[in-house]
Amino acid sequence: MTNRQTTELAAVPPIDLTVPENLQTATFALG
Amino acid sequence: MNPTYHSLGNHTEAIQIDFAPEEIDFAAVVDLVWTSHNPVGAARSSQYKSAIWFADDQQLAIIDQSVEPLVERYQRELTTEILPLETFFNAEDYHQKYVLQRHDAVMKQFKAYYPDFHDFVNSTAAARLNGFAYGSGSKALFEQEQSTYGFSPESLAAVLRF
Repeated sequence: MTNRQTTELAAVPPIDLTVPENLQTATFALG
Repeated sequence: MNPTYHSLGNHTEAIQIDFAPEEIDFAAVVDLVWTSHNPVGAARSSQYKSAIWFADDQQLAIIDQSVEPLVERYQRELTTEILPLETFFNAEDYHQKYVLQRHDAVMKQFKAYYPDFHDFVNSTAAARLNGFAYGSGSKALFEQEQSTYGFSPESLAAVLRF
């Protein structure tokens, strides 16, 4: 018997799997 | 102690984004910042002031370079502050992806993806959907990328304001 919930649910949204590793950060406030 | 919405001290409400430099460079991000607010608006409280924080000398040089034409255009000094980045504190959970969190059906699925709320906060899918839920972006852009969110079109339809 298979566990339908674990086989049907991806680990994370597909777009989150494609995030590159060498990210840079920007910080700002638009008051 | 971390600042909170009801005990903010002299902290400022700000956002911090991660970007891929091969997709968009820092200069282009800075240009977006300048075109997304009034950089010569009246100075406001610490909580709601406009500012850019630089992470290193390279970022500072790029920001400085972008300021000169703006001063030329507005014929006055900018009120948006340029400051060294120190500690960035995450806002409380209920402030994160604020509009998206109002949509229970999609949030239920996000919680299944990300049992740890911090992972939801860092999710690109959550950031994009929160923007669309707020009314930013366009229907065409949403239709182009909706299959990358990992949700059914039916559950996404309720989130959109198009």
